[in-house]
Amino acid sequence: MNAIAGFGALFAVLFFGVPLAFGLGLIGFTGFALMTGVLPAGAMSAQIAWDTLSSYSLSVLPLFVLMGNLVNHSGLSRDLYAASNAVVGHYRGGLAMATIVACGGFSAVSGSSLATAATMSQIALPSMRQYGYSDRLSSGAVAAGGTLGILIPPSVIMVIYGSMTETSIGKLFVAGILPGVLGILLYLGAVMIVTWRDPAAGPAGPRLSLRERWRAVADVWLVLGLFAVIIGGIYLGVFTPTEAAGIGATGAFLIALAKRTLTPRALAQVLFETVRTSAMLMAVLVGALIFSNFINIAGLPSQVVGFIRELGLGPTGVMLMLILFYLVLGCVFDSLAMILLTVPIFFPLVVSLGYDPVWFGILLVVTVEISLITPPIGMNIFIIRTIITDLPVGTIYRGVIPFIIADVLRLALILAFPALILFLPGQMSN
Amino acid sequence: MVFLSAAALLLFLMMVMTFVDVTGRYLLNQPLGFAFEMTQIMMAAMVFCALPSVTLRDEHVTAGLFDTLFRGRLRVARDALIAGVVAFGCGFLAWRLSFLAERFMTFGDRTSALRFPVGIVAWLGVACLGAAAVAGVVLLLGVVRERNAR
Amino acid sequence: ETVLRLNNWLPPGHRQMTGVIEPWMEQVAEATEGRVRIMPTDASLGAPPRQYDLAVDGIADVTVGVLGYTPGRFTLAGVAELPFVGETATGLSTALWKVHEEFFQEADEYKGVQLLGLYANATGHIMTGANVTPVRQIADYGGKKFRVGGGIVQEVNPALGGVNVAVPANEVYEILSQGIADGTLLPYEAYPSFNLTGVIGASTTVPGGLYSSTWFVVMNKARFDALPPEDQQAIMSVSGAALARLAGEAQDAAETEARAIMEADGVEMIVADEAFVSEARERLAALEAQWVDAAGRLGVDGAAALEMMRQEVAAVEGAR
Ligand code: NA
Ligand code: NA
Repeated sequence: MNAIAGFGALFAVLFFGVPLAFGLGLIGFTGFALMTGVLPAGAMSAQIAWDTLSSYSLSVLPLFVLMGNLVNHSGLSRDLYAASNAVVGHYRGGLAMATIVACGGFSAVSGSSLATAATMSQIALPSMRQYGYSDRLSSGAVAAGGTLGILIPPSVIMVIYGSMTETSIGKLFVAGILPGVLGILLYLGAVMIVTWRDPAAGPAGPRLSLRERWRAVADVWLVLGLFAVIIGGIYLGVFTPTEAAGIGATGAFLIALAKRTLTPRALAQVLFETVRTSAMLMAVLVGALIFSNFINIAGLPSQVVGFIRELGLGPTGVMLMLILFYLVLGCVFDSLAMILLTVPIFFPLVVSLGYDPVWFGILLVVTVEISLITPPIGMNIFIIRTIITDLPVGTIYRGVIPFIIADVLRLALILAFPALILFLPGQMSN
Repeated sequence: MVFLSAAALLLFLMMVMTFVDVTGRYLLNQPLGFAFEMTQIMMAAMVFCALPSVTLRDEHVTAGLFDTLFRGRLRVARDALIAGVVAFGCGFLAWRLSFLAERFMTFGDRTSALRFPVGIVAWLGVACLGAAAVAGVVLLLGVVRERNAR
Repeated sequence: ETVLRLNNWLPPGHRQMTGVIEPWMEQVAEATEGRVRIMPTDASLGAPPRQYDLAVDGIADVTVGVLGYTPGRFTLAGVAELPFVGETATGLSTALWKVHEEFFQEADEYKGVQLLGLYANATGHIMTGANVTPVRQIADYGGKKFRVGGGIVQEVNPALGGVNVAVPANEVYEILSQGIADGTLLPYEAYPSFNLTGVIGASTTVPGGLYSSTWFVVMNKARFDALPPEDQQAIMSVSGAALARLAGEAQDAAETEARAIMEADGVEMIVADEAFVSEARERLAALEAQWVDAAGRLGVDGAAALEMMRQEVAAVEGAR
């Protein structure tokens, strides 16, 4: 009962506009104080803040954010788009396909979907407009392609899920690869179908000579190399995810130095931006953990497990119900907030039903990814709006429909074939 | 700005330290030995140091659902209230963290390899959260001033 | 009826909960005739190193933790962690509580809480990976990378010539299976609980004990003081020495079971020879001197305490 009231108060406070970190912290603290007293609740908040900020596992967050920012700054994101374009740009809908592929490439070095969407909309949208692509298709491709950011490793969301549930972050990363590739393929399929039905939506781009293509592709081997080093290193056991993040950031730093795009001033900007983003993320995490302590002490997780057991749905029924719940919640909720609020409640349930923590983690990422592009609140769509201001939100929402269908298809495939997630991490432990 | 620069420097050092640690482990069979604990310490210090700037720039993540509902005077009242909540939250946490910091000092908590006193970083956190609270107040005054200017 | 909240931070089914804490909780309920009940939380309210602080601040009423997770904070119980002090959890734990009462209590290290119990793990062993040369001589040890947890093991390993690899507990399996570390130093019990089947090839036991880690059970001071004296007495009657014995025996039973699992898995069980032991004694002697010094700074006769510790352990372990 207390916990339900807590959720009610939380929604009210967040809708009012209080920042996530402070809303979560305030309600969590108040609820905890009502059950234990103000002093223990205050001490709990301080201890959570200290423990979260000094967590070794979470240090991958700032380092991977830094890597993404350095890669972006060194102009490699532009090169990625040029290379993808050189390869597929001359097909019908080719620029949109290139956008998807470049998003996938950028995701391989960026841990965040918002960063992927922001970066790629700046680069890809103007060029698609220039070639007469419909706004619907081009913005849909960027919005959807951006969601790959948290699925293709490295991924901020996987780190947070891993540290909350003590699931191996390395395995989660490796497990994200196949669903990520599947996502790219299905999105490409969506572009083909859209342009097949309406060829005017995505006219073919100019065909480059073989030599030009080679040159464009040769420019991005650095990005692919960086991805191969960090994910390959984790996969082969050369280093842990935290170490991979440090290596990756150092690699991106050296690449930026080599490309001579990094002045001391620019480096300072990149560092400033990274520490601010990290502080924002960590603040939200602290707030969420304070809130989840209140939920815990109120006994909600065991109540939910008991309630769902009583329904007698069986594992598959429960899983379908959870997915539906996430898809609905995702319409209005931010992906990070969703994970933070629900994992402490549902994770014990899912594990008790015999599901693999890695599998559930990736399924969760795939599901909350969709929330980034579903109305009324889809963060990727807002990002595109802030960059291309004359694009009506309605157009973007119509544009993402084919991609949402692709997402749902992927979800069904993952449910039907768990090996899509579990095969690669399974190879790791042997 | 001092805090933010310190945070940036810490991040850069963290990156270099991790790189040196891993390469040392493979090339010289000799990792730094303190990378694990210093990553923890530096990360805490870095995030603490970045908080005042995030708060001052009003960059904390919001759900921002019904922003358009609040207009005019209502909007000012809301923004002021939120800035107040942020300032209070940071100030309160600074106060409570000071007890933990004090305990780390009196109990003598140290990192295991370098014997670095953990309490110092917790006290740094108290200072940063205090600065973030001040930043929240500055934000609040800014909202009110803007209103009066109109 | 008083209900006390015990913070439950260990993974579900962990031997410390099922073998030690849960039986002790039942004994508390029995001893107080149901007037005091201890309820574990659904999930942990704080990180592993924060367990002591949780009790001080009354976030939880009772907490269980590992002293070594907060280096520098506690010194004296470290006597049970030293090399060549003892092998069994029963010997180390029961001796530690006696020495605590005799020598350490006055130093008042556990401020802000009511200390209910101290106990130690059974000795750690040198476990090496499946594709790694087992440790038979001290030369085999040199240059190997061992994953170490918190506490004195971080000093034991380099003193023997190993390299410390520090990773969180949930990554132990991975770093061993992938060869980031060549081995790990842990009691047998960790083998089943970290699920190390397949990644450990051999285990070397050092006669006399290589190192241990110590656990504490503490209660919020105000909560304890608020209990009626007969309940306080009842709780203490099943805590302290009784808890040390309970914990020691439960852990030794777990060691025996775990050892059987390792043998069934085909892990080569090696016992270090005389040469190894004497070399190790020499290299690890400094740790003992350090502890005696640190105890001296707290006004405790460390040498005498250590002597008593050894005799008490010998009395228990010798009687086996
Ligand atoms: Na990514
Ligand atoms: Na949405």
